[in-house]
Amino acid sequence: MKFTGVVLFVLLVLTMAALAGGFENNNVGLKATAMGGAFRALADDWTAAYYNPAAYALIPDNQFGGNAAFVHYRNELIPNYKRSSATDAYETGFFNDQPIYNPHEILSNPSGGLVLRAPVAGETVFGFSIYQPFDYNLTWTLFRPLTAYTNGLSLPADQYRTNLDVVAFQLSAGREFQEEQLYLGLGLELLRADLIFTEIIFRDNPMPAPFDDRPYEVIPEWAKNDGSGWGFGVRGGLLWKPAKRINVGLTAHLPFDITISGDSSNLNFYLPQVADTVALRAAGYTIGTIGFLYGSGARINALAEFETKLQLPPSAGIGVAFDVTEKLTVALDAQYMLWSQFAGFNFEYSNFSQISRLVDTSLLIDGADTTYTRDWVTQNTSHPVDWKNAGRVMMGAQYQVSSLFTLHAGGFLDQSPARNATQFTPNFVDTGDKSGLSGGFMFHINEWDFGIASSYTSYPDLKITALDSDGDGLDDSFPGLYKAGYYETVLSFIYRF
Amino acid sequence: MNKSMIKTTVVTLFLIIAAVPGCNNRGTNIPPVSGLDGGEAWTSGLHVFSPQLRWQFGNELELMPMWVYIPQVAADPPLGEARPVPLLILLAPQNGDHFYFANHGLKILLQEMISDGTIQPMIVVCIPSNPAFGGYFYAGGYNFEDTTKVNDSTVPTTGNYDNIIGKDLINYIDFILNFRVLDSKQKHGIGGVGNGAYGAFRAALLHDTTFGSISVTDGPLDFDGAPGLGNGLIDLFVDALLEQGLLNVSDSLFKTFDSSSSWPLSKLFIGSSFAFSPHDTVIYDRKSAPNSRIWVIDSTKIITDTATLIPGFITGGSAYRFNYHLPFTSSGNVYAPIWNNFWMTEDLANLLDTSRTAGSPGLDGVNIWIATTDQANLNYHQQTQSWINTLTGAPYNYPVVVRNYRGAPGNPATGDQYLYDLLREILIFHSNSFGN
Repeated sequence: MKFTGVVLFVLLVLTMAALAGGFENNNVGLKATAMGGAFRALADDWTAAYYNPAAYALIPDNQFGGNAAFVHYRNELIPNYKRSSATDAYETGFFNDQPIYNPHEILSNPSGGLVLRAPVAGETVFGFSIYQPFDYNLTWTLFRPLTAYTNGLSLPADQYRTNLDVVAFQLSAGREFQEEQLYLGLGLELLRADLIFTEIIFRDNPMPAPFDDRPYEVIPEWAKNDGSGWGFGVRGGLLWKPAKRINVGLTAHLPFDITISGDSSNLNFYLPQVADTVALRAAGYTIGTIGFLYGSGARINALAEFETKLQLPPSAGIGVAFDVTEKLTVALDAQYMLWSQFAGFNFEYSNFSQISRLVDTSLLIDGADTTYTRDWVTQNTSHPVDWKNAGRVMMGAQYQVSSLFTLHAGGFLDQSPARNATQFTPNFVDTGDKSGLSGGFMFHINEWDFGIASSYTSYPDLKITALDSDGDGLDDSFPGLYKAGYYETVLSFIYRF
Repeated sequence: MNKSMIKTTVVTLFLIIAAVPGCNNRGTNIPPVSGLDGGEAWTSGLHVFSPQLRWQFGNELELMPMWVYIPQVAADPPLGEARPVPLLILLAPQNGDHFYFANHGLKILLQEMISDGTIQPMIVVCIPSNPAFGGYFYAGGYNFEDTTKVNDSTVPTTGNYDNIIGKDLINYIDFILNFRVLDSKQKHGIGGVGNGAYGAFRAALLHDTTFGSISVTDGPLDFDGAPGLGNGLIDLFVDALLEQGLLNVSDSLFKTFDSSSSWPLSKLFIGSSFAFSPHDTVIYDRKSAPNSRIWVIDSTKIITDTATLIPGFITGGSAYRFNYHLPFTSSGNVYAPIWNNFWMTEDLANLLDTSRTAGSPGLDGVNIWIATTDQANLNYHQQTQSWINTLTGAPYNYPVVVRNYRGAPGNPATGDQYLYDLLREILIFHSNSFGN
């Protein structure tokens, strides 16, 4: 019977568990992952640094531990990126009507922490942890210039990519303030953000007719922005034990905006290729002019430095844990995150270099102004999102099978911050309110704990229909049918001393 | 570790392994790059030589540039198979040169669509509409073979496109390609945009055994319009005069109608006036051996009325003199002597009626495909609708494939902005019409 229960449990784990909304990483540590993130009122290992620093006060011994999380984004997009009229839908070069998958990658996400009880101000428990409170990594190849363009040009594979890592170096402290009733904790974070961001945007072709006729009416621009920055955050927690078997946790996290700066090593513009240069010359665009450049099928490449702001969302949470029996504990958490703080990325470029010399000479098309030359190439780019504040409810349980073995299971419901479904692009695929199940187990061997947990997050399918969702004449969404799934497996150890 | 735990661990590991296929590598499913037909486009230095061009002003060498696509199978071995294939002629709109279709993706579309079997291999020939004044509606009625007409008042000043497109061009292409053009009406198609649409129908009507399929987009297909569909080109008369500030001016001022090609709408009427109602034009003919001669096309012999005679723009010295009769007065009204006798006789509906009256098959058995959009400028949509009504109505009742389309928001289809997309359909239409 017991064995059957274990099998059913593991099956449950493998079929269903947890990426939080937006780009929050809600799975720090094995137990929390396995319990669906319902860990604020329990938080009985070093990962309390993330879930509730106040719980440090309840950790009876010193310990250090580490996790290796392996994550897999299993997404699918059937693009429908066409320029549509009432009667027609015009191809744009995207792989429309065909299922496209993000490249298969198993990504790793390590974390670790140290907890020390120190005889300071009574007995305060200190800790130092390194973990990722925010993490996102998704890449797409979705576009090939229409065949009217020169075949010699192709865009890189990482056409749409968001690789965002926010690592927290956190000093935490927790102590008891009211005997066996009230505990408070505080964490001070030094945040390191690393960002690689790419996206294709389309710029109006400045050439006059007929050289801006379809499919040349827009020019693809692709930039690879790779940068980093440092910031700060504060994480606070409260743990209250109203009864012996009940824990209540309250937490808040306040990260400050981080300015990310770096290099745009590839600021590329894929110019149309008018079929015959004789025609270009006949139209007055002789070799050496900007007009000739814009019809030559060349790729303008520039290097630049960039700066953007990462607006991280504050959050608050509450959790309750109840010891049903000596062996079984259940937990229920809720969290509210102010995702509306995050408005996407605006890249401000500066210190351009290696722009095509022809661009820099500011030769003009038909006497037009420099908006067709250097100014055209050096425009800042905006990649907005329209996110709303979002809540998340988590429930989990742990069952101590024996002194050697503990089972954990959980699930969650996660409201999507991108539920407006506007300004939706493949850079952030959060298709709607999510649910997930998770589970795991730990072995306890002497001073060591070893464990494995797995989680699966189920996303609803999302169909984006509007290319211009706000009607301002600019492309702001990427139409298509989005499907998403997220798998995570965590390997963990803890050593107590 | 007890026995139960060992079992649990084994089962867990097994299930984890079993879960791996669920996370298997699907790849990205990116479609492979299409193969391309190995055909080549001929452009540089390639010209139609035709004595039909002898009378075209500014074209002393009797040449007309062209852009030609030869599919790989039609090329000589070892590259190709020397296989004869169908022929498609495409006519550019006003101001369009012979690269016009290539500049809208024609070559790569042909290479891709022939390679993947979407269309059958075909030779495609593109000729320009831009020698001067943006083109002449591919008109010009002089038949060079009728030598009695030489130096006659009816000699056109714009070249004789009818005979070039309907006869000389096909023969020339067949010759220079070592007879790789299939010789049957069904295997010859013609298409055009704008003025080229008119030219395509005109050539097919005046050479009714040549073309088995016609594809066009909006153009000047009905000069005088129809009830409920506007008045065709007539509705543009006032706009052309307003363009130059010459509406309701004195006759002497009206005669200053600027022929310098700088006015877009005026240019349309200047080019077409040279085609339909020229007057006293000098042609420099170098080919007349032994010495170059000047031919004077003195249309005063048949047009004695000078009410709307415009002394044309003179360039290149006294050897060039371009005069023409406008079809409208300074008030923007139809000038019947010119309009009725020289323009409306060239209207497609009249050409069709005349053709049928003369016992010609007209467009019988010809597959027709017409793309039209209500966003088209110059009243072309209304004219196209009217022409469609003529074709599909009694007594002709021709089956016509009508392709209604509109441009995407922010990029309306006022002209030829969507030709790249329509070209795919045009090529498929002709390929199907060519048959097996």
